[in-house]
Amino acid sequence: MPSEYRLLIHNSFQYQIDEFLEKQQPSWDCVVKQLRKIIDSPEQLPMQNLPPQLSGKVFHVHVPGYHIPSRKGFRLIYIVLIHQKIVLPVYLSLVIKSQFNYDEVPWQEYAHEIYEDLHNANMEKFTEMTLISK
Amino acid sequence: MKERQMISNKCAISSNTFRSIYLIVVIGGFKNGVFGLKRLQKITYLSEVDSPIKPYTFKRHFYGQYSEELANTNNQLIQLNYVSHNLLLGSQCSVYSISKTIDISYYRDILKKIDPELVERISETIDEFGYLSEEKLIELCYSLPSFKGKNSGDVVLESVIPDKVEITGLNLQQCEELELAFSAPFINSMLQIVEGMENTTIDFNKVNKVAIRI
Repeated sequence: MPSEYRLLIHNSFQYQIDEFLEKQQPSWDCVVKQLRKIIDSPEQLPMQNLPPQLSGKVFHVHVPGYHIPSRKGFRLIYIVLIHQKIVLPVYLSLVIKSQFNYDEVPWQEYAHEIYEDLHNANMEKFTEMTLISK
Repeated sequence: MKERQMISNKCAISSNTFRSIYLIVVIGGFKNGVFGLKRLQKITYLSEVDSPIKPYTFKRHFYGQYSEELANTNNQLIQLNYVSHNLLLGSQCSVYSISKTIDISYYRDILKKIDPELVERISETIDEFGYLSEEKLIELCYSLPSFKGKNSGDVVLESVIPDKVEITGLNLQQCEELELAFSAPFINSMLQIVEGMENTTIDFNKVNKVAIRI
């Protein structure tokens, strides 16, 4: 049964996917599986302790990697817009969880790019990703 | 197995995140908010004096012990909507209080996990000095021996806190959430994206399409 949520990928996340494929290719299937789970049931694991305006809108999931200890793995952060039924992934770690530092993530750059493209209706900077079971 | 459980129930937060949590617990310890930034500065200072963990460095200032870090952290908490800042009716006094959506008990528990005496020390300080008049509070802080011999700008109390503060009883994910919850770049970025998404109608006819087989 198709998900009622649509998976929207902005170019800033597509760059992260491309980089992930370059560096962590064997684990890509794990990312896709998690994306599938997310659009089937996006409201799992909301981030706690966020300011009220973000409550229930920002989520994160653990992405197990290929041949990586189960407690390690990657991190995927995404935004869910419940009324619009849209899932927008924002961040995918390129290295396993113990090896990256959130302070080094260019959050503001991602946000600025997404915001500008939304504001200027640059819809060609977005891709709807459909995941089809084989 | 036991060892694995122990590892997964121990993580660390940055010193900046710890400072934010400490200040939330101080502000949240006041019954009706903190009346004035000077009071917040002095009470935080007094809570640190006899504590082995000292989140903020204080210098001698015209109005007594003052921490630039504390002022910055407070501003950030206001900006992130964890702390609200209102002017007391009919006066110029600012009142700082914890936003209604914040579960203060969660942050108290975190401090207890770091050092069981931290929360008690903060509560005792607030009970003893938090409701004194501002003049009396400043007078008290001026009278402390550690303050008397210092010149303006001298360090009165040096921060003692590791770069990473270990917490037993929280897992890696909970620590990550805390770290991100107090990261202004992360929060501001998420707010900007959410605002952009909520104010835009996405025309799916105009976006690219890709299908992936799994």
